[in-house]
Amino acid sequence: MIILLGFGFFVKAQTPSVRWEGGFSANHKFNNKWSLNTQLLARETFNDYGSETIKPFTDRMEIKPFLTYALFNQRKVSLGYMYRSIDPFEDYRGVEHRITQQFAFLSSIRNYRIAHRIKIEERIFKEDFILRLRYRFSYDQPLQGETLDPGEWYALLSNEFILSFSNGEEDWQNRLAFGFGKIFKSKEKLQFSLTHRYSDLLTTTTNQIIQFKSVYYFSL
Amino acid sequence: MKITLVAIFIFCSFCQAFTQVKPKIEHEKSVEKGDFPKKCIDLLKPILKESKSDKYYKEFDGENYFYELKTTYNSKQFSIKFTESGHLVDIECMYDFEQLTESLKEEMGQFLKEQYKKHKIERFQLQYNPEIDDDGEEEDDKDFLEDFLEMDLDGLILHYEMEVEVLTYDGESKLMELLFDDQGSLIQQREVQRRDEDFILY
Repeated sequence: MIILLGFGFFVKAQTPSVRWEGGFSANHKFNNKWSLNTQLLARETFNDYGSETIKPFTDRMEIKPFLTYALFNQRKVSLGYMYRSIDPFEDYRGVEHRITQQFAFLSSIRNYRIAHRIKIEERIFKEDFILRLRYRFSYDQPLQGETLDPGEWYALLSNEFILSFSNGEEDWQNRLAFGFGKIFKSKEKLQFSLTHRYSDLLTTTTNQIIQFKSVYYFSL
Repeated sequence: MKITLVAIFIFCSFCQAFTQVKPKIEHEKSVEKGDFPKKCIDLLKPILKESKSDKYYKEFDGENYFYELKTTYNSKQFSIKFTESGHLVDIECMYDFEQLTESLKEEMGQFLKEQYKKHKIERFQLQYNPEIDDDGEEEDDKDFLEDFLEMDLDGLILHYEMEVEVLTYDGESKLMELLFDDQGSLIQQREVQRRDEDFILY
């Protein structure tokens, strides 16, 4: 139902902004409880909302370390920080500092694994502050058997609801994503996904983004 | 003195080998029905006539290859495992732990409480194995399957297998596969490697 709702947004198509985000995700386990994940990402925007003119530019570069503590029964709490350079190659570049509190847990329906992620984010800009609440559920499925073994492909489907509060105003965003990944013999993974972002759902000026994402996951 | 040290070393090695929990390494790949040994398909005919959602796999446990059919038969989820040469190994059936007899639940529950600080049973299965005769020979595959289809429990060896999320007294959280005999006593335990999560959490 929730996924259909996401597709419902997609049907009301305008000219979306097309973007590509690429990067790396490094995971380090200190012990059985503590781990650190750091992501390094950059995003290229090819056209603006509603515009068919293609004018590629790098609209952000960011680094995101997340310190995670594993609780019993596959529940995890994380504290994250993100430093984002907005329009990093322009004279008018800006900065965002983001602090994230995350709670994630896994559930299963029969043998199918569902991951749930709840986030509270404080986005700090030079002259603005945004509070965001996010909930995402993801389903991943190995494509060559019930277990995901090295050398195999997997598929991924997720949907995320985001509620933002800023200057007394609210905004609702929906992100529906579908992707594929491959796990290599060294346990590293390369994942490709396509996300449909539908933002400003509580206003009349709704915007859409189609975002390709490619991330290389590895452990240190 | 030297002999004593050697004896202590051998004794410690023996203890370690006995108590060590071997990790469960299992690589599984989907295959077509046609890739299964013909011998297995012929044996499975009575089940395949009525089963639904048949899925065929080839497994590698780090040492040997196996074939496995996962299917829904009589509204229950079964997995039927064969050796690479087509010999029937065991038949497993998903089961609700709470449906066990009180004495079995208590026996297994007591083990879990003693061994672990916290536990949560993720998956529970009945495991049917072939009977072993007085000469130590396993029952013929056809007789084993017949006993299973007729639910002739006198002709089968019943084990209980559970996948359980545990928190050890050392504070370590892990997923274990435990195998109990028909009286609820532990026969085997292995740690199960969890599927990666980083790509769905971050």
